[in-house]
Amino acid sequence: MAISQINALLAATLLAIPALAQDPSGVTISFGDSEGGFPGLGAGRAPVVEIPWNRLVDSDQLYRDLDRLCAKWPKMMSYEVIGHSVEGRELRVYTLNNPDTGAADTKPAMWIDGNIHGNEVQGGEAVVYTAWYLLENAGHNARVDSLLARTSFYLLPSVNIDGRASWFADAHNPHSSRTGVKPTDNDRDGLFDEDGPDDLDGDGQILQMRKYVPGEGTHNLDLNDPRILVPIATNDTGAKGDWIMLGTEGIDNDGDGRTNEDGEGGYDMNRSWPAMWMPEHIQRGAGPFPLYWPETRCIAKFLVEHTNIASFQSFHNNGGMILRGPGAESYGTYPSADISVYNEIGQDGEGLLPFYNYMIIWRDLYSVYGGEVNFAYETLGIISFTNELWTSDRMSPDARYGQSQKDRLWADDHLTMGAGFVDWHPFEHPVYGAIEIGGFRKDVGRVPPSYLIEEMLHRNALFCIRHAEAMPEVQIQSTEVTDLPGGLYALDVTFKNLREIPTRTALAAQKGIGMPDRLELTTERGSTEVIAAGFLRDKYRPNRLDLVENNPASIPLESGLTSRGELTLRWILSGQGTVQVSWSGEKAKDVTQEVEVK
Amino acid sequence: MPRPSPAVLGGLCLALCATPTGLSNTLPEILPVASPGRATDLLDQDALSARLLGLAAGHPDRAQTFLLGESRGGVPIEGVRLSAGEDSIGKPAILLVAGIQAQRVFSATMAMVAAEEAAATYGLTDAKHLLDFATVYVIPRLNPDGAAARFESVLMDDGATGHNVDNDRDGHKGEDGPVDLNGDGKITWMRVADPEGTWIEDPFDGRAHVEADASHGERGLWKIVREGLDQDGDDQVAEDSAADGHVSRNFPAGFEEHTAAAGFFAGDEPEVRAMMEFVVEHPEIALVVTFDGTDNLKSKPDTEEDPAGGRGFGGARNLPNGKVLQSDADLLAEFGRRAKELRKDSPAVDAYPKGSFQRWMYEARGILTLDMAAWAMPTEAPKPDADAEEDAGEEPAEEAMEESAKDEAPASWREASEDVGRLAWVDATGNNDRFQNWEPYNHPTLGGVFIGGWSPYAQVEPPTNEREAIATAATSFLLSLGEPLAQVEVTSFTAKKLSRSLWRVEASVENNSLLPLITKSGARARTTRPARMELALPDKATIVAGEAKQLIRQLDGSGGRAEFTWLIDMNSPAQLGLKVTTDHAGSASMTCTEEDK
Repeated sequence: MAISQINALLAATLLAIPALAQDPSGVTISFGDSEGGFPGLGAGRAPVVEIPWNRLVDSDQLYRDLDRLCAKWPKMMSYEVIGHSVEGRELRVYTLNNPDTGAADTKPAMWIDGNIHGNEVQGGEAVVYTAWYLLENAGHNARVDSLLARTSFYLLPSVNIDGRASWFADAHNPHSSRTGVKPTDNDRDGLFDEDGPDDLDGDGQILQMRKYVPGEGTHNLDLNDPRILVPIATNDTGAKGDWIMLGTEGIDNDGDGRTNEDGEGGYDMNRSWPAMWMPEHIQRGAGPFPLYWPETRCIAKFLVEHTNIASFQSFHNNGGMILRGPGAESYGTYPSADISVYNEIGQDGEGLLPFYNYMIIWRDLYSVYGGEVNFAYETLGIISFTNELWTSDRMSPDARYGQSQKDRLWADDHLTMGAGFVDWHPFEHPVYGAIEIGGFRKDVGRVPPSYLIEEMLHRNALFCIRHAEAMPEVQIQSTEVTDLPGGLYALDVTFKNLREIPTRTALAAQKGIGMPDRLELTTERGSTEVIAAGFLRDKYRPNRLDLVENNPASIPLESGLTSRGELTLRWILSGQGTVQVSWSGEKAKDVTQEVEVK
Repeated sequence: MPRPSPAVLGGLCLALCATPTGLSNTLPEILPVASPGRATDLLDQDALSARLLGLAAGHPDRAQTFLLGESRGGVPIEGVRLSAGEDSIGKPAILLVAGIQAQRVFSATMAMVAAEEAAATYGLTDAKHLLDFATVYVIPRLNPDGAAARFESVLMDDGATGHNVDNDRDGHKGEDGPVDLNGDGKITWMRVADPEGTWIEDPFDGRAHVEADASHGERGLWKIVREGLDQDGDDQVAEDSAADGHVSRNFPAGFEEHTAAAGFFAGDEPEVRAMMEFVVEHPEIALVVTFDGTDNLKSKPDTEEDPAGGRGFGGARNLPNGKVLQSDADLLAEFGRRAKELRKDSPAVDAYPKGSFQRWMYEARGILTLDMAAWAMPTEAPKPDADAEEDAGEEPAEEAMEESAKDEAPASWREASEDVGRLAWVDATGNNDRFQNWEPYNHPTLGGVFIGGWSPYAQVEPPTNEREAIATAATSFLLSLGEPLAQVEVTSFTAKKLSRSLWRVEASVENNSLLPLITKSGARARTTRPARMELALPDKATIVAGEAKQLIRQLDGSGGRAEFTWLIDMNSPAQLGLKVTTDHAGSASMTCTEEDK
């Protein structure tokens, strides 16, 4: 299709989409100003679909929210079930695409998932928010329309959807339910999941246990706030405290002398991908082999089959990070051309996401073998980020506010009226006798308080959109026919990638991942024949031609079009006529143009 | 992918077919396809299925077939479970897997012979039989798609079955595979005169080829490529076979990412996934036997020191490297010594190749695999047997021959290649159909070439007259493997009265087999479950000191021992029981007795 035709289609689409902002009843939604949409400006605007963005919701509600988007924008969004979790929940991939400009798989696509760790729930909301934001603004915002005209999105809100369900429904703390729920014998005693934490006081939270042991302890109570335990400094005086910490709320369910050592699941689905996968003694949680769990397996299949995925985002919590691989030092480094692309997006991310740092997983965090984003880039050649959503730095932008337990309690006391902390209360423990149970609730620490959720979602969604806008877009910049001696013609065609992400990452080109791009010339009408072809390296010295060895009418381009890169191909032709020149590839929309050779 | 060099092709085909050579037009004697009735024939998939069914029908009490999974080509991967008597708690299992490397077609026959013998010999003598010690899972052919190539009308032994790679990256998969140009029913090699060629004839035997050594002033003359055409018009010959990934290189241990032969990603091949799932679902597997190409009973593996104990094991952050921990290597050596007594010697190969089943079993699951390869072509002519040697005394004639060979050698720095030795074996044994002499051929795009070289399977498939002995050795070896399996025993459980109702109770648990309860690698990988020791207390008894349940994290082989002491308040030890259970080393129990005063 010629560029002009594509533009015409795009224009038609722009006119068509505003109709989607109509309620099916026929009532036109009032946007409060002529532009409409819900771009992140608040005055007098209302979204078409109201989703309360100050909540975190369970697995079912997450799908229900997405289904509301599908119902409102059925043409733009739908889902397919790609597999089932251990407990049989559907794993749904929601496809967001404007079909007027082509099927989803004809466009570069961004994959976004969240919540591969069951307790890292807000990633799920971030996926929903991204879809919602794009849909709300489709037809109202030229950049959104342009993005949806040339790209598509595959969205899987909760990878570990069982772990998420459990985190909401069952007693947990901020860190538990990271695992999936396939029973696993962590203490290797032949029994499965028989000794996890216990909600001893029945309050729906897994808290901490402490015991008063006058003169024999390791901690004392803070003089100003008895909720806080202060460790006794090691010194020569032999001083002892009055309290000991007994760890996470629970008992020794299996009578093996240990407490809470074999809870639900006990593995890590973000260590099970076949990119530098390592066995359990190197990488805890990796499981017996890559893609062992059904959730990971069906996602890998989807990713492998959708070669149009050009960007990849995974949402985790917490700490405020924009992470890229490698996951392990022994991998070496990524090709420098790809690092430049990562840096451009990652550094923009630091601006979009205050308190977040752009980091390399192994160097700045810790080593991860078999990580999902590592599979996406190292195996599949897709630019991939992991964001660690939320950092308690954000509780106050004031530098005088710290992250000590005292600061956290102060914030809870003053900003949530003490709702986040369960005060210490007595309990009779079967082994330890009289103890106290207390501590922060599960939704404090790793997830923001409700009034900061929306900001977190919005900024991360816009980081994704910024990343998606970087997906390759190929244009035929110019075509020029010149006469050659002997009645032949030279047709010079310049192909350009307008965006940061190359049509083939340097790694993909190096390792032969996916298929090379292809430059083709076909004869439409007339008697034109391709005699030879070559890449023009110096436009002032057209004889400097890197000749193509085989089939000059269809040329594979292993290195693709680099970041904002262009190249000029010279076809040497005989005979006059109309020809069609084209670029095609996996990671951008194909482009074609007709050229008169005469 | 760059154009594959002959060396790369050699690597693809198992590192065993080495450089090319060829065949006559008659169907070679070395490659007969199953003729019913002969126990050691090659088995095509139907014959193998029939054989499995026959085994199960013949011994319904001891042999039950099962389905492991499906190959990429949709062929069922079948197995048979051999057992005798009631399944006792923790009864160990031996997993026997053959037919992993596609070329090892005969290994399925070996596995079937061994399985049939194991079932048939049970109960014939009073001696404790393999099936008394262990359940045996036999998967005679993990890679049926690979083996199917052996029964095609045109033979090729590239050994690949995966389909996820487009070698020449032209958007078409498998459009330019090898072709049997000379119609001899074999895909062999083409020798093409080419200024960029890197090969020359071996000066010791012109049928074999060696790479020219420019540092000695040699210039290459020949390119050696697979027999084929340029079917896709890209000026490359036979560069895009339909299949690429090898089942034997697709396991997640040392997996070579972005290597066509290893497959798309680790565990991508369905056979590999099915095999790994089976292993994970069967914690009773205590030992693995393979009849494959990685003969670790012969070759001495690279080793490293045992790690110090404790989680993480100090050196555990060192990534798995294919090396075998010293204690485990010692066990392999002992099994190797035992196996050697059963069979003829033949060349050894890499013990734990990258991406192999054996390496995954060892590194990730901590279970030893004993691999007995069927056969590899000798790299020298057979020596006269011992009796003849004695008669002939000093063998002056042979020495003279060696001398004359040296005289003929044109370059003193060169030694004859292994292929020269293999050709000597071919000549001496009359196995001429294993090598096809280079014959001129007029190729449509390359012009005048020579077709010849090693015929498919020539270097891995045992000669007919050796198969019986090979299968017998494999069977004897399998049958010998029950007794070395770890087995927990309670060797004493006694109580001594300390006061009116307080008893000091002591127990010892031992393993008197060759294999430890858990290999060093298994302890490192934390995969094999420890033994579980549990007291059964009489009514009203109270433990005053000690734990009622404990894990026994290790019992070394050949007398490994764990001891326990309790103080128990009870009326009498007569009702006090002790039970030790395992997943894979049996179980034992004992009732406490009062210590002799």
